[in-house]
Amino acid sequence: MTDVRRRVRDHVRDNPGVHFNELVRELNIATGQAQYHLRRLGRNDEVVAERIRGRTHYFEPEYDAWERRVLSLYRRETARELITHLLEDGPISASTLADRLDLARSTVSWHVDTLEDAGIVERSYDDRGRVEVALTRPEETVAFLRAVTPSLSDRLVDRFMRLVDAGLHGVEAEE
Amino acid sequence: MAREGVETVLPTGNWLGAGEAAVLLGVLVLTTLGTLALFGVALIAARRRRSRPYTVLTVAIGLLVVRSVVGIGTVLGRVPMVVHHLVEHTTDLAIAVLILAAAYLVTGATGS
Repeated sequence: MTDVRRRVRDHVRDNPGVHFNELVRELNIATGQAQYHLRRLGRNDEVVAERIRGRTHYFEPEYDAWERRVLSLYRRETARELITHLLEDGPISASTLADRLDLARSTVSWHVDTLEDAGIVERSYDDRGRVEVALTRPEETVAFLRAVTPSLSDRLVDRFMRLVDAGLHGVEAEE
Repeated sequence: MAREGVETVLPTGNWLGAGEAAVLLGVLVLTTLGTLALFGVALIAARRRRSRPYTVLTVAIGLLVVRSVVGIGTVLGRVPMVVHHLVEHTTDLAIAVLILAAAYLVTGATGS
């Protein structure tokens, strides 16, 4: 195994769910080089790629698909905050989540969609027809809480979306 | 020498001295970098959200980049003043219309 490939593998091992750009930046290698080695590592089953909402995260094969999705999304700022609130308080209504996180309903809704598709949260409706969000597997989710932080560019895009949603949708009446 | 050079390059009249040109160019380069960064963020957000308001907003922000580039072209004497004003003020109109359109498109564009 070449030195670069070993570094890529070790970085993925130490940073489960690392995003491609982050890996390239941290290891200071060329994009093509990273692609090449990740592909080879993937072929040898040493690294597994998980693609969510257009972004690819890398893992050791030890993580199953659900664990990969939890860690991938936990690396994204708003999804992480949503998960954290659900972990601390249990099932919460979508509008309470929006209030607590100070987000537009549409922002919350989009992130809940993503988390629901990933099998991390589920929506239900209470007797008044309001949307309630809960973790699908609370205990397992706690087990995966790790100190992972979203990258600066991720935060920037995330906050830009919040700003736009607040500006464009913020005045909309709650459904 | 340098001053003469700048003046002969500009086909748009003596509206700018060499010192002013340098300052203006510096400002325009910063503006281009800033608008490009904003455009990049908007582009990524639009690609993730795939919604019409985001796309329209991204085009509007893209026009800000166009404005900066045209500004640089003008200082360097590549863009005649008439074209400059025409492009700048047309993009102003386009940006205003696009942002209004983005706001208009919001109703019903997002499911719950």
